[in-house]
Formats: sequence, structure tokens, C-alpha cells
Amino acid sequence: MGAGGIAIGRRGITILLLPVVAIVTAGYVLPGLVLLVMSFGVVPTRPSWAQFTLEHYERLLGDVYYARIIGYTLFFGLIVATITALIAFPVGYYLARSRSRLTSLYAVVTFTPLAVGMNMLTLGWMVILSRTGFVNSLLTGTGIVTEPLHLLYGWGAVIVGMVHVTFTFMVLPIEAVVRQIDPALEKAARTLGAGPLRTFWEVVLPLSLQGIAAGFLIVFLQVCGAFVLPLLLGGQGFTVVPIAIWEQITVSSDRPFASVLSVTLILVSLIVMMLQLRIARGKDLV
Amino acid sequence: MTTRRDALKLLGAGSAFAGMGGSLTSAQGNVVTITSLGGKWEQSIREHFIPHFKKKTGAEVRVVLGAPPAWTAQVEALPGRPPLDAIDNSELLAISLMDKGLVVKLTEDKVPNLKNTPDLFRKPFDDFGASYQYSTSGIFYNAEKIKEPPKTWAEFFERAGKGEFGRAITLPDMPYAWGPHFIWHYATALGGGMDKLDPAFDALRKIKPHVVKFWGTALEVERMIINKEVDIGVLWDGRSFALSTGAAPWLRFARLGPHSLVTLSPAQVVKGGNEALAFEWVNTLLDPEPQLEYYKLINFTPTNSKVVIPENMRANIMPLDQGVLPSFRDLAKVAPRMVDRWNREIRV
Repeated sequence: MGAGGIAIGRRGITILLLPVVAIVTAGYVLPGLVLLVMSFGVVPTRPSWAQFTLEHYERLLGDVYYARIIGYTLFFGLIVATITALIAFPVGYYLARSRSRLTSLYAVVTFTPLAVGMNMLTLGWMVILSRTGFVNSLLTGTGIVTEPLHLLYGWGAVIVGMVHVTFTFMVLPIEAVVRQIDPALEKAARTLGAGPLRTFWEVVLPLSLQGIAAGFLIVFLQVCGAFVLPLLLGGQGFTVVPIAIWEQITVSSDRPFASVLSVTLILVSLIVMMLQLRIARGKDLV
Repeated sequence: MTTRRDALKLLGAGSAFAGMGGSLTSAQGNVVTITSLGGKWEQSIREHFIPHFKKKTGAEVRVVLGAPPAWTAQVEALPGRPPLDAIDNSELLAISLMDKGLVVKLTEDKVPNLKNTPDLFRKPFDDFGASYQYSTSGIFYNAEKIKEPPKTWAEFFERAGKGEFGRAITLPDMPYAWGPHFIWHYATALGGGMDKLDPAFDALRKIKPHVVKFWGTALEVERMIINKEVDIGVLWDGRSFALSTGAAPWLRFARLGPHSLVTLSPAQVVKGGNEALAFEWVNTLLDPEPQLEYYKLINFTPTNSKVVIPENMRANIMPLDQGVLPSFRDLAKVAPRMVDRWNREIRV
């Protein structure tokens, strides 16, 4: 530790880390292990090797329906993360670079999804997009349409809702990384004849990739695990893995298969996360 | 530098720390831990049942809000040391707890109000649970738009399938806890049964293009009705009556022939919990006095035969011979197949 710092020994670090490790162990590691055990048909409270079976994994691998909803879930995550990145980048850039007094106000507005939470935002979008909601009132009131439109219950509504919910998680890392880019680099590019687009494409964007990748990852993982919003805003053809898990627990009472779906979702998310980090950092993490 | 050994030590310490949570189960003594759904249900539990219980026992009541799947999972996770003493369950999960030996049989000496609770509300659970309320299915409809509502399930599906009601229909979704009950009931009402579900799935496929959304929670369908997203659909009587006298005065409810689906909410005493107080709690749930107050607030019909329903509310109650119940054990066996068919035929 340098001068002026507080020297903390190995024991001190261990004590400081203990609460975090306890939370991670209780909240993630132990439930994860229980899920893994259950996915092989073993009852965690009365385990025995006789219960061990691969039949639930065979069912998953042999059924196109589940492959399709895993595909839908990942595709949904990629679409939402891409749209969120496109919308969040200008906002993050503005928050990092602008010296306007309005910056604080924009920052507060940007952070509101965090303060309100996913469930409340979902209910808000249900009100806005309903047949008697704000959008339809505006469209019918101005004569653009004569009958209210069906805006809820489909891919469109779910994507709009998820982009809103996850927006802050994309803006924050982008803003942080843009703040670290020396503005002199952009000035130098402009001085050397590059236009605004070329400056953005060849200077700002490459230097911001770490922030975009971090935001992309957070948003992607959040979307893949989202349950309430897809359930409430999605239509009958819209199923993602978390809804299928819920269905297996509540209706089929098939916890082993629900565990298989959960383990698969975790594994796929981890693989995507590692690939993304590897691409972003340019080194092997696997 | 933190070594691998340090990390393992930390993980071990974390596990031990996390394991301490296991002792945070319900304390025995003069407290009973019970369950309740949220909203009006919680209001009724707190305003009608708990004061009655406290007056009789002097004990405290701890209410755990949530839903049957979560409560059942909690009881199964800690057999012998349950975090709940009494559960307000769904039928299929009640049978599941019963089969796993995690609930206690109710007897008339410990739950005196059982003797005024008809067999229909006890025997499906072999007295390992007793329902303190029941509700029946039917259709709600917007009386401003639909002047002649269907009279039978067959007529409803036929007219809906032809698009007579427009794209303004909603029915329960499969993830809804009672989704399989409805599928069985559609099949039965349309000439099929537990082993012949085709009539239900054929009818559902035909009306699918006219369905705005299959609803997953009762709150969802209520919101759809209030926002006029839907004009007609399948719902429980109590919820429909509550809406028509409140936020949706245009709404009417009709029971369709040949019969309505009846659903129960079996109250159960969890083995190894505070069983003495849990029996008292179930007895309170079956007591005619708070049941009447509950009915006035919720509109779900009480099961104690001694409850005297006010004259102006009697018309809403369905005679029990017009209702049908599935065999819950058979339904539990068929439910995974229903989910599979639903995913392939309705959700595609």
C-alpha cells in the first residue's frame, strides 16, 4: 500500500470479503448446486445415487420446442441489447462530454428506471400501450386511426419495455468509458481532416468498446432472465426460458425439468458472457 | 496475494455463514405462521380472520404473502422444520404435500368447524386439507357490446371461433395455476374428458386468432377488462362480480351449461410446525362468522353450511349440483401432457 493508504493484511482482506462471499454462496453458489443436483433427478433433501438420471437432459435435447425457446430467448437478448446500445450511446456520450446545466437533469431522468423498478415500469407500459392508453388516445384523438390499435401483447411491446428497463445499465458503462477518452484525441482527428463521422467511427467508437461491451453484457443477461415483463407484455406466441421454467414448476410440477431449463439458461448465459468478455478484452478467459 | 487455499477457506466460511439461515425457521410458542395471497385476500385475512383467531387463542399471527408454489417449495425444503405452520394451498399442490407426508390430517375434535363443511370441500384431500371457499367458472362479457351472451360452453366456443366477438377474447393461460383445470373442464363440457382432451384443444385452436391474450394471473385479466382490451372471456364468478360492482360496471357474468368448473382453496396444517395453533387457524378459516365477512369483501363463496348469505347476494351463488370438480390425482398426471400440447398447438 502506498503512502497515505491504509495497510490491510491478508486477514483483514479475508474479513472484509466474508459478507460478500456469504451472500454469493447463499444466493448463488448453493442454489446453483441444488439446481444442478435436481436437474439429474436427485431430490436434494433425500439424495441417493439411485435417483440419478439423464432423462431430463435427453428430453431437452430431443425436443425442438425447447431448442426454439432457448433460441428465442437469446435472440430476444441480442435484439434488446443492440437497440439499447444504439439509443444509450448518444446519451452516455452527452452525459460524459456536455458541460450544460441540464446534464444533471438528464442524468436523473436516465436513472429513473433504476429507481422505479421493472415491475412498475411494466405496469406503466401496460397503461401507455393499452387500448384506452396514452398512445391510442393520441392516435384516435388526432384522427390518425379510427379504431384503437393492439399495441400490447407481442414482441414490439416486450422489446420497448425491456429497452426502457435496461437503459440505465447501458448508459452507465458507456458514460464511464467515454469520460476516460481524452477529448484531445477527437480534436487531433478533426484537426488532421477527419469529419465528425470518421472521428466517431475511428476514434471514439473503438475507444468506447469496453463500455459498450460491459453494458451489452449486463443488458443481455438481464433480458435472458426477465420473467415478469415478458409474461405481462408478451402475447400468446411469446415464450422465453424463464416463463417455461415457471410453467414447469407451477403447472407440470416437474422440478427436475425446470432445473434442467435453469441450468441450461445459466450455462448459455455464461458461455455468451465469456465470449463477449473475450472479444472485448482480446484475451482468452475460458 | 489471495491464494487458492484462501479462496477455498472463504467459500467454506461463506457456506457456514449461509447455513446459519437454516435456523431461521418459525419459532414455536404463541405465534402461528400462516399464508395469504395479496390484495383483498390479505385485507380479509387481517381484518376478518386474524381478530377472530386472536380473540379465541390470544396468539399472534405472522402472515407470509405469496402464492402456493412458493409456500409449498418452502415446506418441502425444510421437512420437519417448516417455516410455515398452515398453508392456504391450491388443489394439486395440496395433494402433492399430502402424498409426501408433509401435512397433518384434520379431525373434527381439533377442527370442530369441519363438521359443518360439506364432504365436497374435504374429501378430495382425504381431510388433509379443507377448503374455506370455492369459486366457479363462467364467462364475463361487456353488456354494452354483447346483447345475447352464450348459454353453453359449446355455443361460446363456436361463436368465438367464428369471430362473432371480434378479437376481444381472453382465456386462462397454461402457466396459470388452474390452467390444467380449465382445459379439463372445456374438454368435459365439449364431450371429452381426462383421457380425451381433443375437443378442448380443437376449440382453443379455432378461437386462438380472436384471443387478445391468454391471461396468466387474475390481476392481468382484471386490468384487461378495466382497460376494455377484451369484451368477453373466461373468469371466476367472485372476481367478475367484484368488478361489475366496482371498476367495470358494464361487466356481466354468466355460468354456462352444462356445468361450471369449481375450484377450492384447501387450508392445510404443516407437519412439524406449531400444529396446535395451526389447527386453530384452520378452524378459524372454516368459521361461519369471518367467512361471511370474507364473502362480502371477496365474493368467493364460503363453504361452511352455517353461513347465512344476505338475501341480496344469494343470486350470485351457484348451486353446487351445477358444478364439477376434476379428480385432482388424475389431473396431476395429465397436466404435463396438457402443457406439452398447449406449447405445440396453442402457443406456436
